[in-house]
Amino acid sequence: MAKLKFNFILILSLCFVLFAKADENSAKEAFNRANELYAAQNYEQAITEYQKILESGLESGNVHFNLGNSYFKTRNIGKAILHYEKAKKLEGENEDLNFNLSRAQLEIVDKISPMPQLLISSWLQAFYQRFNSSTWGNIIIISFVLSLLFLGIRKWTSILPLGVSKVFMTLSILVFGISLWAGLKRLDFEQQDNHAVILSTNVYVKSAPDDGSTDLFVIHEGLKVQLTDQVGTWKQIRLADGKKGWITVDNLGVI
Amino acid sequence: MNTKKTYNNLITNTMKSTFAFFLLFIVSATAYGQFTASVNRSKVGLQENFQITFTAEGDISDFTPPSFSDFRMLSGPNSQTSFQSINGRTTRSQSYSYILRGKTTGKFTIAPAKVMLNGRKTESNPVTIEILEQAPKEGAAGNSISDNLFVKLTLDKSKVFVGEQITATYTIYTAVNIVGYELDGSPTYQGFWVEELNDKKGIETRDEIIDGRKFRAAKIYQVALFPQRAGTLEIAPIDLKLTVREQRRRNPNSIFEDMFGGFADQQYFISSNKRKLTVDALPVKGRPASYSGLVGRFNLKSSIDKTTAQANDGITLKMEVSGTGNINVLTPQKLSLPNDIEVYEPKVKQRGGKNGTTITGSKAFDYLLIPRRGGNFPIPQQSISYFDPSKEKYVTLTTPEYELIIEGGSNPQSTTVTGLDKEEIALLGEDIRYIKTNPGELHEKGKSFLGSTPFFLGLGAPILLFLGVLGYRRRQDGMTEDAKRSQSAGKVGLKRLKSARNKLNSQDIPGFHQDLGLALEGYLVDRFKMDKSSFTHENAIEKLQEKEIPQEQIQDLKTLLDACDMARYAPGSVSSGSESHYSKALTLIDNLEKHA
Repeated sequence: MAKLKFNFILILSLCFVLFAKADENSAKEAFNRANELYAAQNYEQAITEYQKILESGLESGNVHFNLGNSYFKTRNIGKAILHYEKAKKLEGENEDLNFNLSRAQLEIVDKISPMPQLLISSWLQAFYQRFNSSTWGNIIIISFVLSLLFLGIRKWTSILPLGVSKVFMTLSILVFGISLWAGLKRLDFEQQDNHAVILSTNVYVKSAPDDGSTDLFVIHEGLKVQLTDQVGTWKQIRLADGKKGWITVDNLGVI
Repeated sequence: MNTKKTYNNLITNTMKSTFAFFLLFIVSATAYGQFTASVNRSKVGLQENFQITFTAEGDISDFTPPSFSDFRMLSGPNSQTSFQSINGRTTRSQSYSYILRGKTTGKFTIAPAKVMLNGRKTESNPVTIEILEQAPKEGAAGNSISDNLFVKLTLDKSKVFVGEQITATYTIYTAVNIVGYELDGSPTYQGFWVEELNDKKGIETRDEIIDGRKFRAAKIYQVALFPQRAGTLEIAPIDLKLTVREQRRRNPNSIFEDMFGGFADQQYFISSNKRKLTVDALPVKGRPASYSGLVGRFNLKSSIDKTTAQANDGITLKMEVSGTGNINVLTPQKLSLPNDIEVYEPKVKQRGGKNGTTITGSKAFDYLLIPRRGGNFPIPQQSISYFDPSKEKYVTLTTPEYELIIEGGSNPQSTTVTGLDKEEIALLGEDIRYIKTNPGELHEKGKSFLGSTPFFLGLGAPILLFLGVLGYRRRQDGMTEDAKRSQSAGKVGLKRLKSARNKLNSQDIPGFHQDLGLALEGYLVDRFKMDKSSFTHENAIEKLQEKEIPQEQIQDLKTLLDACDMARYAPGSVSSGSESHYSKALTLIDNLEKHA
């Protein structure tokens, strides 16, 4: 009976995979076309090709990375940073991505030093940002299966000495627990849309969601801000140093 | 009309008949086409003469004097013609004068004379004269200098707002000969901002009839005043030092005087009247926030020299306010500008002027704007407001909005590089890493494997599988308490053997065998789920045979159990073989454990 259930699940998952395949193929073609255009330094057209993939509803870290590169090459720093940040959100930390993002950030005007963070919390953050939530999901499943496998081995077989199977089982349970925590944290990070990048060359941050209110400060293209509130077409933003104010939504791109 | 007599009042008596000849005032400006009558004195005694003069400007004919029946005519008409040329235009003026003396006392009105002036019938004004019993006393009205010479202050308005222009005019009226005058100190006006209006060109005189007497009137001083505060303010008088040429009293004994004519110059100090003025505060209602005190009527012009520029280029924004009023109070406006545009203190150019007696002016502000960064910057409307006293309303003037397009700006000239460390500067020189050649894991936007259905299936499937296997095994085993004991029998047996071994080490042979026996019996009970109460060696061996345990192992067990019994019940009988019994028990349990 259990075997039957398992087969059903297997078939169901396979259907999911096949369903997604059709869209994916045309997206891959567009991706390759865009890459050729990029190689020919035809960045503007490469951008439209990459955007087609995103418009079809599919995305991947690499698409955003390449799109970020194309925008960087056309000196569109705000959008370049926006797509690098999107790639980071999808993919987690990645050496090339980190390099290009910090390279692009050199071009922006505002140098805002973030508020100090506890060392331990930045470590933890770096840890769960390591992989995207899908990867963490895979790790969760694998470690879970392994935990059950070693439990079964201990219980019903004697292929492994009791001590050895115990060590393996404990290890996989530990990995399961940690990856579950990290995966959920990462998922939370991915699902929040409360960060944005400024796309206008310069924006006057107002004290209230109203054109007539006083200018508090000015920020420039490429700055990453946190979104904390919304009134109509106005968004309240918070800078890394804690400053707050209001700008209209057309000045920013949500990551 | 304070008239101060001076140190020298030698000649005041001699002013019996004074002809108003102006030596000083070159320009005479009796209106063309005017026909006036005047007397030289308004009050005379019965025994005194007076003179009435009819003066006309222009071409006259058919002069008809009125009837002088109330008076005795002593002489006349004495006619006199004079020509004047003003600005190249010659005018003729004709005067007819009569010397009269009263017949009786009383007030008399001399009827107008008639004349054809420039072809039109014209009448002069009537004149009133009072004939007194006695000649008016020395210094009394009619004869004193104060009757013949005074300065009057007139204002063009009686009520003004703070900051609104009011014009104060000081006019000298004289029926005597003035040869010179000077201001005795300049008047000070408290609570006003003052702008002098006096022309340097010269002073215009005109004839004016006051109470039937003809005076020469001349504006000698005019100021525009701008009140600085509300309330009742006093407009100060002016003090004048006047030199008057007077005819000397004839002294028949002095031939010398006669020879040199009977004139002497006399100095007088006279002051004008003062005036009180009510100044209203500007209304609070409707006052714009940007209001800075301008009162009058103004225009605002603004211009910008360019709207597209490079970052750090200078752009000039010009604002010019012009009009009438107190433009002096206008200070440079603080521009509301985008933060990225630096602005310097403006250059101010002021131009003042007059339109008649109205103060006009303009003030231009040149602001230098320097955009520090590229981008599109709206320069919002700048506003200046003023109060219009004629409408009693505030008016706000605004400049148009300008849109600046600044190019460049990410030039590392100023702020961009600051705060970069060595590493970052090195990085600035590098290109970005090349694009990825594989698209990576394409998936639907906003969807993650974690939390998706396949994920939960992936978690659920192993659990179901595990539970399935577990259930299957359970049913097969019929897992009971006995079964569990059976499973751990080997472990327990080995433990007991170990404790038996301790006794062997301490040469307690009977104790060792007793323990060994108990260990084996316990093991068999647990392992083969036997009833403890009915346990016998025979039962145990039967059970082993049922389980198809090899015969030699059963044999080994039997000998071991017997040996243990022997040692237990007949101590001392067994002294050797303890070591082999122990190892035999170990291998036996080991073998039985391997057996399912």
